[in-house]
Amino acid sequence: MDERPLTGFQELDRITRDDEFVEFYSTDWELLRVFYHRVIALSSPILVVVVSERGGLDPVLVRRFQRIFNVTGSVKLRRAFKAEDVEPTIRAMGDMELIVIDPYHHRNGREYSKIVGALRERRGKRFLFSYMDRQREGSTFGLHSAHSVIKLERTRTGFRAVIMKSVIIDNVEIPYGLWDIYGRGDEGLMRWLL
Amino acid sequence: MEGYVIDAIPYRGRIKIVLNSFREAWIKTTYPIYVITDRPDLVMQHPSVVSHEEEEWRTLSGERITLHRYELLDLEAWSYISRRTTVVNQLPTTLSLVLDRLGARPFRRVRIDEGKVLESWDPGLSFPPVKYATVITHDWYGPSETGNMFEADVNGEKQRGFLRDLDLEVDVAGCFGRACDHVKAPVKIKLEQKRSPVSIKGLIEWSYTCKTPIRELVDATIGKALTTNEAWVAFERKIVVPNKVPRVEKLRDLDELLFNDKGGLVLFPRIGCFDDAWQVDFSSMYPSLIVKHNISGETIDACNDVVTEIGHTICNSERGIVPEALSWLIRRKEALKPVDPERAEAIKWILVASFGYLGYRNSKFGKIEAYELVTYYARKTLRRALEIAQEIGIEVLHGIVDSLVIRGDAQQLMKRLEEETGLHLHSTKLKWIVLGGRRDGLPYPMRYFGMTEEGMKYKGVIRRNMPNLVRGFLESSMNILSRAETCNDLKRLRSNLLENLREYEERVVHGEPRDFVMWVKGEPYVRGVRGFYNARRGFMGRDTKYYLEYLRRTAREVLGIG
Repeated sequence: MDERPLTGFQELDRITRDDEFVEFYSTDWELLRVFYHRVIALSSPILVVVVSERGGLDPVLVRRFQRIFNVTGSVKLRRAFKAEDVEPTIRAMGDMELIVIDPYHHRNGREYSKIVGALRERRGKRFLFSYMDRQREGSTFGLHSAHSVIKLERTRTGFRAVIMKSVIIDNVEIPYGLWDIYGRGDEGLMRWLL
Repeated sequence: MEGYVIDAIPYRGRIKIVLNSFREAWIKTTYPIYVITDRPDLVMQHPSVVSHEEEEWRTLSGERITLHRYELLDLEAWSYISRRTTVVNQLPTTLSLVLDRLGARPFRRVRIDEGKVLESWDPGLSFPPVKYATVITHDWYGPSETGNMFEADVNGEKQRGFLRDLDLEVDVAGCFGRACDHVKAPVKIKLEQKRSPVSIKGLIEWSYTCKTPIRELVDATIGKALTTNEAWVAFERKIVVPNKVPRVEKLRDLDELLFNDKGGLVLFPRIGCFDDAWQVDFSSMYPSLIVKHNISGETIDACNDVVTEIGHTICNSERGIVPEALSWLIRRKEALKPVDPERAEAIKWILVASFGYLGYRNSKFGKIEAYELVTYYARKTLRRALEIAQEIGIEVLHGIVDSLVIRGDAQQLMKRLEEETGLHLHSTKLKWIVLGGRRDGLPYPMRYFGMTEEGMKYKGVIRRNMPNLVRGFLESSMNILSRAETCNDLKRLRSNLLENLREYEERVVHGEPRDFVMWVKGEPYVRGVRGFYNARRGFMGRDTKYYLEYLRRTAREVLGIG
């Protein structure tokens, strides 16, 4: 079984191992941003769709994570700038493993069913990262379609992953230190330097 | 009846043409609507449909498509049908299409008799003899909707006074707040709603170039003016103008993204004051590159006529819609420049937006790859300019995207560049120029000031959100610096600058309330001892320390004094 995409956090990867459609969400913009850059780097070679009017992906940060974790795979991506671009862009990526950044960015109700449809139809494993507040915005926008839903929250010393939906585990919170994102929890940078 | 078309108001089965000097004429007409449907008979059932035609059109990607054109009695039917079917060609607007086929395009002279346009004349470069005005009411802090004083610009003539004395009759008026009640005009534009950065005269020019009634452009952004021009080209070629164009970007890797998704080239300037310099600018560089290289959404990656280093290709089998629309605008801007700078400025705004709009997500005729190609060619052109300058021994002091500041034989450089790039250039002699640095000692590429034959030229010196006092200080400082003929003279003016600074420091203590106002996002603010407050609530004191520090910091950073 192909394990990509993966987060690099053993607990999270174990929980999502058998899921094809995993959604991570957070209202903490900076936390989610750093987190998905790490996931993209670790999951390379990987296909990525970035939904944003501008920005959304920093190639230099992905490269930095690749150097930290000593990964060299290629990252191929497409950007979707407006709501109408999202569905055809996801379909154009084929059936390979995919990471989609903020697919519901435009909060466009008319395009929602098309986007969710395109995501559900895919065969490969896909990770989705969303800035939507799921507790406020409810189960709209494909939440029912995801096999696992994980919420990321910042804490005083780092962040925690709250498992909101999973077929194998109850709602649990897994705490991490902020430095864990940068691979400093174990060998990390030292492995690369020495 | 003869006159210039100012406005058009649609009625059932006819249209009212408003001519200059408050004259009106009626013409019988129908309104077209273009529909994509498999059941054309359903639309026919609407009682306002007069006729139906099937037409062969092309899509942006070149496929043939059948459009159904219905002629309607009124625009209510247009709205009803557009809500229930797929309506395309919404730009140019229906009213513009009607005026175009009647021969009564906006701001053209027409002769109308017995409900028909018998003749139509195009004024070309000359401004149509219509009366226009901009009227703004003022309060103590500046423009205000509720002010009692007014400031008017009537066909370029300034008028001021109390609002109660104002009684104005013009063809096109732009008014603000209470001033609108004192102006009589067939086209009255509320300046609060205006989204474009151009003046009323500029809007008239937009209406002329877009062939669209001015009322439909009031709340238009620059993008709409540009898209309307492009839509006319598409319409004439029978290419469908869709409402939304879903686009799928090419698959690319991180390196490609890093290399391609860049802006123009900006050099780090040499810091200091330089005598006898030249500023050499490419005229409308980005639009000219779009025209020269045939860059348009539908020409990129369509075939391999031109293969570029960044991986995008250009197809030259047909001229692109964007280049064709822009080439006319560039020619018109260049022709208007010596005749009427205000109207040339209005066209310039469209040209300025043309490049950015190529990459804008809602652009109908653009594409992100087209956008990247323009910046790629711009960087390449400026780099070539630097190489040529080096070859012929010219010293380059600074470079920003489409402009170079040099010392040496500017005419030779321009000649070589025009020969090699095919782009037009113009130059400005600078008696001296100061290229500044930041507090940390690094150069500040976007700030410079210098003396030309016509007067001071400065960029990045005065910001819109500065307090009036600081703006005034910088403007008067620039006036003082304009006395200098060389960099050596500048040193001698240092004491005058310091004296000017002391005067403004005194104004911080004794100044008028207006001096402390700063405009942020259209709202006037004053910094009081308890923080910022909105000046519309009245003047409630100012924080002297804040304004003193602001003034001294600006003097130190921009002029190096204090």
